[in-house]
Amino acid sequence: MTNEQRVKTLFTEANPIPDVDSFAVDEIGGTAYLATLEQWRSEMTQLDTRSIEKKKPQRGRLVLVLGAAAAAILVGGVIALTGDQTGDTSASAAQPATVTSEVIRASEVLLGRTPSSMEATIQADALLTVDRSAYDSNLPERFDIVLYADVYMTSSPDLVTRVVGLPGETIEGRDGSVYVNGRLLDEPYLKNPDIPHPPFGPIMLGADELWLMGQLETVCTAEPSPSHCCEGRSQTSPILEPRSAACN
Amino acid sequence: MTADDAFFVQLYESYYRQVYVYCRRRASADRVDDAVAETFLVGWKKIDEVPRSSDALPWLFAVAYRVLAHQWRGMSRRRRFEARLASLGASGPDQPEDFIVMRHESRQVLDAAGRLKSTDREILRLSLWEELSHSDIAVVLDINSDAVRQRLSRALQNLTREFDRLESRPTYAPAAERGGAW
Repeated sequence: MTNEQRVKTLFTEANPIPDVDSFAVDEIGGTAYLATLEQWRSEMTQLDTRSIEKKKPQRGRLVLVLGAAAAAILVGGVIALTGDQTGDTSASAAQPATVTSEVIRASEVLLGRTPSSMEATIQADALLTVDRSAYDSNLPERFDIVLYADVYMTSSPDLVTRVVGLPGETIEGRDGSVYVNGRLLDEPYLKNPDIPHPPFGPIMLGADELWLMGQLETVCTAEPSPSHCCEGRSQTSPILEPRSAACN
Repeated sequence: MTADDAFFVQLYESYYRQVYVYCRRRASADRVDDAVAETFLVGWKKIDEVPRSSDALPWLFAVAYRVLAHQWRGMSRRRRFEARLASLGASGPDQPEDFIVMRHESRQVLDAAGRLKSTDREILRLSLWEELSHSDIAVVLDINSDAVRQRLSRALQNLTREFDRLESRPTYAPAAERGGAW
């Protein structure tokens, strides 16, 4: 068997639901479902049309631009993150890493526009290049700027963020600073060093975990809340159980 | 019941299960019900555009794919909330517990798939998980069958390459040996 055939077989076997027919699905039946839709429609028509427009603008657009959506999906990260920038920006920080994947060094291949979580270092609209092979022969080092992808999500945007803690280290947010193994971490890259980090931890990283942090100082000045940044716990290999992340 | 209504009922009853499983293969359980409902809502609203043939299922897959992608945009905010819940000791959102029991190689191949472009990943899933024919995949992706063949072959090559790379990755030395190297 060639390597390609082997990988093909493995991928086929990795199907989370191999047997459609025996998978338990809660069905209410077509007629009943149609009745609920009809009922929904009659309720909707009784309301002011304009309020419906306001209520479901996204869905309407989704339906109308299915063609265009295909292109948008390819740059899903851009869409989601631009959206976030107008609102609660802290949401676009490094994802609390419940499921994680490879960490990839930003340096070689054209990727896309960056999210805002690294705004002090990378302009929000800057184009980044990513070297997807950088970690084939080297390991992520502290302060590497990496692309973080949540591989099990259909189209979650990849995030540009920074490696702060390495496997086996203990990371703690205390007195507004970050401590690695009890030593104060010098973070010269922060745009507004006066804004304190939220407290978290101490957290001992596993043998295959990294601690990733975005920078959101610019966001925080606009939004004087504790949501300075979100820390994500990442691993260099797939995890076996969901891990919580410090996220204020 | 109008002809359209009857067609919708037939569509729903014939394909609900497939659409549900399609979504479940790509998203966690707590998102699937919404995604399936949304997909059929689109089908209901656009009943005139649903192909009156065996292309109806790939048409629904195409809608579901976009619905799932769209869903994600609202999620980053939600996940932050969920992470906070998790840190309070509640069990977190549904996560791929399925992966726990997976063999190392299966997880590795999914990781490799995670490094592909989303279009590569999707075409592999459509072919190997949904077991769609090339012509059905062509309907989902809105490309022609020749392009499907080419893309599929390229996606498999890419997957193999990423898989091989993952297998030859280095690993960290124990923290004690690294010492205070920073």
